[in-house]
Amino acid sequence: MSDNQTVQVRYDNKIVVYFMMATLIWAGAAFLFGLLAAIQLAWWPANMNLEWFTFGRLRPLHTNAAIFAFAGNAVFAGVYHSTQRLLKTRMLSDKLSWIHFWGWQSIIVAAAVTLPLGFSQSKEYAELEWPIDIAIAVVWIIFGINFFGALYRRREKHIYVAIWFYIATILTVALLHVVNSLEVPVSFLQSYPVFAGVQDALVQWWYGHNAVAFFLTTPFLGLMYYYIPKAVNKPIYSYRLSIIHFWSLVFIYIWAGPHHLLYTALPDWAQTLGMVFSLMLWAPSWGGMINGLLTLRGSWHLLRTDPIVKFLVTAVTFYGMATFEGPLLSIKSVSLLAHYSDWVIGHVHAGALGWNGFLSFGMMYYLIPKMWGREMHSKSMMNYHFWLGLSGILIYYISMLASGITQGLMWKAVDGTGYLVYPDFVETVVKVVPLYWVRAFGGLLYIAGYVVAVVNIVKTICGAEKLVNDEVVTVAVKAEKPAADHEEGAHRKLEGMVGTFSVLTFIAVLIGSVIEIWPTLSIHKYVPQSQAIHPYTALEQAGRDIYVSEGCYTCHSQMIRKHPSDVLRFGDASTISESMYDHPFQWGSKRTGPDLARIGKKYPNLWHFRHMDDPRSMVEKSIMPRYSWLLEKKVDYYSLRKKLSVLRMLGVPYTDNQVAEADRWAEAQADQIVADLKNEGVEIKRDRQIIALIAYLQSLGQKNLTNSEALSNIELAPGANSSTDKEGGEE
Amino acid sequence: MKQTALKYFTDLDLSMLALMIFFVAFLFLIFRVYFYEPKEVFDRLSEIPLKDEEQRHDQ
Ligand code: HEC
Repeated sequence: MSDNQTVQVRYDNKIVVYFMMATLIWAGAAFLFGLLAAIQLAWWPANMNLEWFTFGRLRPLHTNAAIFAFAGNAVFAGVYHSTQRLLKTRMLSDKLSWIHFWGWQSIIVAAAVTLPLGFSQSKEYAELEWPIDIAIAVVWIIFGINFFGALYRRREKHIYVAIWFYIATILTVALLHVVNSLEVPVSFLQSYPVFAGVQDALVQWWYGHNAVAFFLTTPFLGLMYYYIPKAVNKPIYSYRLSIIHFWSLVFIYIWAGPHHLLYTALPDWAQTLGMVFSLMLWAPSWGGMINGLLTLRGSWHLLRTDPIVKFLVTAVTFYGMATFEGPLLSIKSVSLLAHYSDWVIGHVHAGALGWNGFLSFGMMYYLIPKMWGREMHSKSMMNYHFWLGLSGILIYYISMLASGITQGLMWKAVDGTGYLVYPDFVETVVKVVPLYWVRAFGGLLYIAGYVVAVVNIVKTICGAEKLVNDEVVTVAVKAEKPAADHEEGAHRKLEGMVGTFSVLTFIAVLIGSVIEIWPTLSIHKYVPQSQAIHPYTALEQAGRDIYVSEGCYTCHSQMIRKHPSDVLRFGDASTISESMYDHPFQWGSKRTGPDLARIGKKYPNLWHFRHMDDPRSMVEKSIMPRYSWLLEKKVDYYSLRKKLSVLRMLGVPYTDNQVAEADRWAEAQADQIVADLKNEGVEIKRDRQIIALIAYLQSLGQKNLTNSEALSNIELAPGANSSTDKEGGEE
Repeated sequence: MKQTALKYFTDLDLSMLALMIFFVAFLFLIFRVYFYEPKEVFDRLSEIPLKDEEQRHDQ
């Protein structure tokens, strides 16, 4: 082969443009949902008493839109643009590119329809139901084929570090998504996860944390390693450091999940592991940030003059701040204060709005002029966008930090005699409501910046003469063997070998996952007989499904941590066995309202009835939304047979009889609650959702068998073991 | 038996093992990257993004 041939390569720009437009459109949706949710917490009437937009359903819609619709499309735009250029080839197939594009947008639309309708698995950032999960897997694989195909056909032998980050993203997200979505369908839009309780919690947070790591961090780092050098026209500060950055992140990140579960019923060894590895993340994250920032060496003036550089550099700075704070929050004693509080919300928004948001906007400001062959319409508008956005993030972050620390301190405060200083939870809520207004204002500023950006971009595009379709470049192609053979070190061979490299990455990720998760998968088998619990009755399970579907977990935890302040407030610490039949687990991650793990029997049925209909009627200053539709909507008792049979298949010890007569079992228990309410002067039909929900709430923390009772109690006929909930009233 | 095994399995030993694997891999990586590979290799690699639009003819 001759040494230097040239070929013409056509880069596909249209797909990049489409992904960018999708990014812009969904960004608006994600931001607006966020703003509405923020206002709902400050001012409950903003829930509008509409079930579709009540906080519990809106919050998953907001997080999914932000992560998968906004950040996801931005990543795809950047990956499709940079990969073609770094590999000097078009993607494998235009058809696959477009299936990827339209497939992903359809998934987003499906999410936007099903989440407000209450079809949710309640696993954070994985709420979507099983048919959509399958669609996500398929589209992701198509993206993978398109990407790896391009890698295979590349005309640049050496693989730039950004591509490594994309490879890690594609492989790991596939693994995370598949494992965390293992579920058994009950109906077209409902399923139960195969894992229960502590297992489900561990798998979920292994996923949840790594969604942050491999969906919001590694791909964006890839973009950083490409677009910062482009924007300042200088190579990355230290390529060596980028290699260390890559491997350390891939290896360490995957272990950090359990830091979401500190002081919970998760075994201590896993908690410690999560904390230690989170602390180790400090080093590579900061290495990466420094590498990004120092790329500007000698060009710092660009920070003043070039808005693109401003966006990119600020994004990297936020990456550094968020990855400094993350390990800090993983320290057990800090977590004790911060977990369940608004501090964590502040933390993620510094990451999402600062790191992901600003990097995406910076990248788009770089790409749009290239795609349309024209300067941005207005540079000062870019600057306005920057300052509005930055003030928005800072106001958001500071208000949530203040709120979180306030909450943490108030929840923990104990006076000299050993009593809680603020025993009434709602006191701690009322205190931070003003900060919720401040936060909403911060969000509003960020949105204002976004609006300026949209206007600027639209004007740029409208003023352009043509839409740049394909971009044709002539590239020099090195022959198979590079002339300079001394470069051919083993490391470069490795990096030339995409297959080996991908396998190594996958193994690094797998080691952490298996060691951490595997032991937990059999943990329920070793629950001592004395700690065994009853499964939910059919009616309670029906109520539980409503709880899951309404997204009560977005405001309520069900996990009393092993710490005196939690125990004083909510009762004995939660045990592993108490959630062992919970498909899915409902430990929660946020306490906007109090923990509910031991709410059973705390109040009479009537209290819950009134409270769900209008929380203010029971707790004057409550910010909880109204759930009055639960008094109207019906439970499909018949479907309980199917539900219980699926749960039994997953290991919940229901008897044949209980499954076969699930509907009658539920109705019998419902009658008791209806009768009790009637005694108190409330008339309600037994098939209403509120009845099932009350049964569920009354069962929480009440499922323990006493030592004298044997497990075989569960074997009794339907109705018999509802005695745990309604003393005396059998059938 | 299995229970006992599992108890030890979840002990810190395994975490230590993982930590060791990581640490050794890390040392190996540092050695390769900083002491084995010549600097020119990395210089060349880091130039890749800057050279990807050698000759453009938009269309
Ligand atoms: C926007 C956040 C939010 C959502 C969503 C939410 N709650 Fe609440 N909840 C609160 C707050 C705040 C309180 C404390 C004030 C009060 O008692 O109303 C509370 C209190 C409660 C209490 C009383 C706890 C106690 O110990 O006194 C129960 C029970 C309850 N919620 C059940 C639910 C259920 C069931 C759902 C889902 C259908 C739900 N909540 C959804 C915020 C929320």
